Amino acid sequence: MHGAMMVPIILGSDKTTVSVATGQNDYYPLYLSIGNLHNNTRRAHCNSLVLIAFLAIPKSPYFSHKVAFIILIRSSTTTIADRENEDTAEFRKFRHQLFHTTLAYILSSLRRGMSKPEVQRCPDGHFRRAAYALAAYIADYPEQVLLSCLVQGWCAL
Amino acid sequence: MGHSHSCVRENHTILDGKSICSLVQHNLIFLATPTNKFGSDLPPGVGPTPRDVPHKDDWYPFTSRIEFETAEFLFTENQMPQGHVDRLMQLWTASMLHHNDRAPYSGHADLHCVIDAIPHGDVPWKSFQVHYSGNLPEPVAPSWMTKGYNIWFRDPNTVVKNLLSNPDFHGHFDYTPYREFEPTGQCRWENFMSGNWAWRHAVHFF
Repeated sequence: MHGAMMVPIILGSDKTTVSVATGQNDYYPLYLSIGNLHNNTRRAHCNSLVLIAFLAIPKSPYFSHKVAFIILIRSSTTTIADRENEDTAEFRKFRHQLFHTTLAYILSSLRRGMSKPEVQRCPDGHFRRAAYALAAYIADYPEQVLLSCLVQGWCAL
Repeated sequence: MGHSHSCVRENHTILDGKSICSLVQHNLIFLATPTNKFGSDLPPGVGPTPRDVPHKDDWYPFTSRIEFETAEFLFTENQMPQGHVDRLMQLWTASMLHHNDRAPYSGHADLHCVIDAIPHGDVPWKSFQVHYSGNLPEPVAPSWMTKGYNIWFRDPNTVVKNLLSNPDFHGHFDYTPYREFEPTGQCRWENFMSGNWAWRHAVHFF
C-alpha cells in the first residue's frame, strides 16, 4: 500500500425518501461518495453524491385469514399467535439476509481494489494507485440496526 | 503511534487579514504518489499525463455539430413529444428534397438510438433478482417467500472511477489522510481525510 492513495467509500441510504412505489415492489435509494472530496464540495456539487442502487423493501408477512384458519385446524398444539411470531422472526431474518446479500453483490466490484490498488486518473490529472476502503454508512437508527445485524424493539425479560 | 509514518508541515491561512498558523501532519504510508498510467511512480516534478481530449470536430456518436445541436434542442431543451419529433423530421426531409438531402434523424426512435450511444456520462443501470431460498411451509407459503425482488444498481467501481477522474474536483480533494493542529495543540477537524477514521485506517495497515 506504500505510496497508494486511500479512497474511503461512503455509502448512505434513507428509507424515508422512498419515491418509487409500484404495486407490491417498494424501493429506496442507496448513494455513494468518496471521503477525499471536501465536505463543502460533497454538499454543493451535484456529481459528488451518486445514486448507485435502488434497494428492495420486502413487505411485512402477509397472513391471510384463510392461511390462519388452515393452520388452526391442522395443528392443535400451535396457536395462531405462536405461528405469527415464528413467521415474523423468519421474515425479519429474510429481510436482513436480503439487505446484506444485496449490498455484498452490488459492492463486489470494489473488493478487488481494497487489497490491490487500482491505477486511476485523479482530479489534478495525475494517475495514482487508488486503494478503496469501506469507510462510512450514513443511515438512520432502524437501518443501523439492519446493517449491524442487531434486533430492535425486543427485550430479553 | 503513527509518528514514524508521518511528516509535519506548517500551514498558513489568511483569515480576516490575519495570518493563522497551523501544523499539518501528513500520512506517509498512503502518500498518493503520482504514477504513469501503468502504475509506476513518476519521478518528482514530472507533470500529469495529458488527458485524451477529443478533437474539436469529433461529435461522435453524432455525425455533425448540426446533428448534436438538433438532438440537444429537441431532447434536452424543448423536450418535444415523440410524435412531434417525427412530424418535424418529415417536414425537414421534405424541405431538403430539393437539395438531395434529408433531416438529421428519420424520427424519434433514430434520435433516441444516437443519444443512447453516447459513451460519456452516467454509468449504465443493471439489475438482478433475489429470492427466498429456504423451505416453503405447508400448506400455503406467505407471499414474501415466493416472490422475487428486483434490485437495480450501477457498478460502483465505475462510479468511483468517474468521481476520481472528474477535473471539477481539482482543488477540492484530499489525496492523503492528515491531522491539523492549532498552535495551542488543539486538533482541527474539517474534511473526512482530517478525521480519526482515515488516520487510524492508514496507520493500522502496518
